Amino acid sequence: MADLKETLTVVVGGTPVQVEANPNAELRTVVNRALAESHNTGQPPENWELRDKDGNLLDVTKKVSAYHFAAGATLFLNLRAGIGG
Amino acid sequence: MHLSDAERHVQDAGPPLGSPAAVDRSSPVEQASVPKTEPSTARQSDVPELLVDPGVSRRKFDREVVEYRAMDAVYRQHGWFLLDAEYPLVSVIFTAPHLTPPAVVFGAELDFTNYDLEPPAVRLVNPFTRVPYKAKELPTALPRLVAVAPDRLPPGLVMPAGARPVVQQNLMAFYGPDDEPFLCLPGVLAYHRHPAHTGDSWFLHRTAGDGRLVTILNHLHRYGIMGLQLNVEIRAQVTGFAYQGLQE
Repeated sequence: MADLKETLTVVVGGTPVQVEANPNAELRTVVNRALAESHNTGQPPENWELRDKDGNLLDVTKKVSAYHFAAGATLFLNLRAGIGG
Repeated sequence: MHLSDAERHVQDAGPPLGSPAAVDRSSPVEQASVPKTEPSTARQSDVPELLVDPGVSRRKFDREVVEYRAMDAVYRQHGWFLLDAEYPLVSVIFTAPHLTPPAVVFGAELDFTNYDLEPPAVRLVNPFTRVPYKAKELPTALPRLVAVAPDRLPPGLVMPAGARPVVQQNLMAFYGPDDEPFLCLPGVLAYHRHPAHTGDSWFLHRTAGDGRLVTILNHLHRYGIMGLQLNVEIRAQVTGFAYQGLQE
């Protein structure tokens, strides 16, 4: 059986990391791995938001396969803005 | 002027903590090279107080810039254009490529003096002249919609089931229309120097991703560009008569 895992590039606050993603897993697993790989452990995962290259916000509760990412797709994991004002 | 020259001016530098002036940390070099359309004010001549060995801040600054440049092609697609990056300043222009025609919206200058003992200072500037905007000149106040907790709603206000009340909160703050506005957000110098935020120290954010170059640029892009639409209004108005010669 072919390896179904796909490799995504996740840019975490400007730092790109490669993350292996299981198409059947929730996208949040990609977030967690990307944060761990980039050593961004100072903020909980819910303080980050995942977007595609067009800036669309991705629902991390959906499966990876739901988004039909192209091979080697780049996603952007950015900190949510804190409470300002 | 070299940093050592700036150091000699440390004693007479520094705007009042928490004032909008606190965001101005332009180096003397930058002040000399930036054209000013307005008469220079006291805040524009302030010299930053050096609290960190510039060599340390410079290395951390370089790391931020190197990471940015590694993704430069992607950021250009977002409409970000890095103009200059020479310690301690980074200058970026934000455009809106999703509009037709695309628009140059604003510029941003980030000052990494004392980084990362302190977070960067951020100013929005005219992208063509690089003069900092006054509040009344801002092309965007970086609005965002913030959900209102049910217990914060006005008494007696009945909301439809499932409705989520929101209020608009501008990330650019100021006290008067002629003030230089400041970005009031964790990870930005003006926020952490403001007396209202003494309970939210920069050191609570310093290692958590706030205050990094791309993080700040992302915030500016999200609230200043992503929601931007062209607002076109055409009005026809009769202003008089014009006679056209008639051919016999």
